[in-house]
Amino acid sequence: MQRVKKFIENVGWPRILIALFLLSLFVIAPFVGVRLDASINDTLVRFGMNGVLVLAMVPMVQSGCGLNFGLPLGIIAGLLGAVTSVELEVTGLAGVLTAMLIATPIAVFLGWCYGLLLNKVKGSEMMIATYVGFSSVAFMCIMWLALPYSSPNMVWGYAGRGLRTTISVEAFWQNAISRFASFRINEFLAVPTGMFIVFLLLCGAMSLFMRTRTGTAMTIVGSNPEYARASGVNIDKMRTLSVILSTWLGAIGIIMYEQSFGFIQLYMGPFYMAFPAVAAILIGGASVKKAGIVNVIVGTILFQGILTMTPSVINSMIQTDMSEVIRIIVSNGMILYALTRATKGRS
Amino acid sequence: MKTRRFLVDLALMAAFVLLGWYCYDRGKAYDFIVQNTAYAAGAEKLSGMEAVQLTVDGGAPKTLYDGDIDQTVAVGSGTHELRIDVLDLDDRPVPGQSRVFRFRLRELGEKMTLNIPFAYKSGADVK
Amino acid sequence: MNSSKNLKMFLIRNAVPIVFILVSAAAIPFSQFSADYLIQEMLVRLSRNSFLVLSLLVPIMAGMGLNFGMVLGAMAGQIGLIFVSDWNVVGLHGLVLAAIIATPLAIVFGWICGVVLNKARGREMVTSYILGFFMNGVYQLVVLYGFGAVVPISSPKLLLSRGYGIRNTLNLDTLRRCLDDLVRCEIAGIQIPLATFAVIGVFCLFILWFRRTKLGQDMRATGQDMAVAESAGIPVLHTRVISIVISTVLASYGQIIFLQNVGTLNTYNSHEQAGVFAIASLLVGGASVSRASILNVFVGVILFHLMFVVSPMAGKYLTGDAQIGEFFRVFVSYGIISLALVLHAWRRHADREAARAHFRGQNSDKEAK
Repeated sequence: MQRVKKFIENVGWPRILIALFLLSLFVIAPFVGVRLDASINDTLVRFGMNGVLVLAMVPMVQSGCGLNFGLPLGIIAGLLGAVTSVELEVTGLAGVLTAMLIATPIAVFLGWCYGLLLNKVKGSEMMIATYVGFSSVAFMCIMWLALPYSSPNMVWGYAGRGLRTTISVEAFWQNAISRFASFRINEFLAVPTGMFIVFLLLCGAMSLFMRTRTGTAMTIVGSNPEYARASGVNIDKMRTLSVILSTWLGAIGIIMYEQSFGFIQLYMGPFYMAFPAVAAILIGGASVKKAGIVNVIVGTILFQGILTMTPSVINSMIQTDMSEVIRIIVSNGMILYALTRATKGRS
Repeated sequence: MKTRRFLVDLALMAAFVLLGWYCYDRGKAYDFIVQNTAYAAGAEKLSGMEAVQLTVDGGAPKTLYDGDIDQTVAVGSGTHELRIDVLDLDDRPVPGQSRVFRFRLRELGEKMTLNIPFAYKSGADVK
Repeated sequence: MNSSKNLKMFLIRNAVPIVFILVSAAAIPFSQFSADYLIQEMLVRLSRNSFLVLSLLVPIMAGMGLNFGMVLGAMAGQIGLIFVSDWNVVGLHGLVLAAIIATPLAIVFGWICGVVLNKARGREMVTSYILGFFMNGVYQLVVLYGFGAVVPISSPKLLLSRGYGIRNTLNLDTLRRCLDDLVRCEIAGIQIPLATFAVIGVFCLFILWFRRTKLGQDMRATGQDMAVAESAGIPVLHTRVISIVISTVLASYGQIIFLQNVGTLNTYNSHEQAGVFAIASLLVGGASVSRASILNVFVGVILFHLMFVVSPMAGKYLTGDAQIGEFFRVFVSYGIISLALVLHAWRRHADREAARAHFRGQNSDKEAK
């Protein structure tokens, strides 16, 4: 009994309630006409799609920069990589790798600048991150129109220049990673093992990194800056490194997302993309000051699960399409809950 | 002290509710139909008027020819004034032939219709 | 010597409005708008938006930062207008009735917002921002599914074709410009909505008076330093909540004034931009997260909306593409908020670092832990 109590205290009632809710949705599904195998398939796919974006939250939380609401910066780097890869007409796995390779230096550069900015505004990172993210998306809107891309798959047919809002990658590298080592169970359920492999590899790499000297230094900078300063750790450098890591993971994350989704979304697409990632990691048990790999995995499963199941089940039950509204309420509700739980473990 | 604050809060809320009720009462717009058609009730028989101009409570005027049926608006509860001006061949009000008909909305019946010749006959001359 | 330092301080302090004036001044000739048109536009926008921006002053006074939760007030105002539209109450009476309906709703919303913000001390702005999104979801849930089904709506022209849920666009013809046109005034061919400005003027007087009341003083003390205020016996948490409630109620009135000028209610969109634009306007006017005055409000509204009107046209004539002008406007709106937030945070951080270094320098033998 004691161990159960301790487990509940550690995990926290809200998380348990959410897990139970998700479970109940899966149980109800068949009874309201929603195919269980299709649902599991959707959940698995969304888990793989979003996992890396959620993982991108970890470095910055650990180093004390708060939740990375400025994820759009990394996403933009990834978008540039993806678009260039399509322009170069590289297909398959090579296409994905090209995208990632191109995105990486961009992400590192953007992350570095972003890190410098955040170092000047310690204490108000989250608010500024949000608006820097928005401004950069808006700025890129201008860029997408002006940049000299010419591939007929991507530009507006009428004018001949300027990228379209949504670019399909079906002919290039859709599911290139997902299909890798995937196996099909039945007509509705295929496990996209490729994505899981990449995701888990990155999680493992992050986990190992966090145990290295640099990684632990980063964590100390977040949890106890005075001690870090006394130990001779360069706080600003560690924070910038965490921002670069986060931005890079954001770039990789959006490429993973796109290869599964099948479309590159430009212009206002990345505008709100930080919020689901934030909500996911918070559901997974992370706080504004501490986040681990377990939080990422658990959070992504729970969040994407609820986002997949709730609309389809409720839509079938009430015969109306409420998915958008439910999505808004659930994801923002989660972020709110985490933001208001601040007081525990505050230094 | 606390009771005084409570009473003041209560008075404020009452004032609010009253103001709200007042606005609703004075501001609600009711649609009703005006018919410039022949009117027959028992012994009385009136024919439609050739051309008239209607103004409800001083609002925007509406022109109705013989046989026209139209919808118009009256704002607020209580008594309304419908001014009827007879128009000449140039559609201008003939002086001395204007009447004002005062009515309450519930007198219009379930279908909310007002017959113009009847209103003209029952109306008072405008001085 | 001193004057050059003062000038430097002045420039830094007012960096945002200065940048804005420069950008606008550069863009106006490109946009090919006439002075008459711009003056009229600015007057209209002043009368339309000032109330909303003024509602942001109270929470800043109480140290709550920028109240993104004013969106909740806007939603309350809109619900009031929906009911008034349904009941077909017209003109000024309709407007006042809408305000009366919105008030208790706004009080409840503001209360919720205030309580939530108290729980997220130190991150009020992000929290109010997310809360705005969350309540938007709840609002949509109620208005898109509840109205017409659970909440009785008698007029079918308000409802969607499926029988429940409010339409995307509501025509407010019966209320259109009823406040603006109440007292008409025209100078040199430019229309001035005197009544609206009178209301705004009354509101400004209210703010000035409020600052002197006990509640106002309590709020200012809370805003300056919560710990000190608490030890002085001020119920800080309660005061903070009250500041948000007041702001939300005022935002609901502001939204009603805004919508009576526009004449059309976009049921699901009108309120979203209310928050962002109002806050951007305030920041452009030179306010900071911890300090804002009435002057900031009016200067900010004029400058922000000037840029707003001018940039799409300037972008079109400069680059030959109207779309770029549109995006430029969005970019500048968000960029300005970022810039203002960064400047504020940078100043605050620099002050704190200086204080800490000073402290550490003095106590070099005993480490401050």
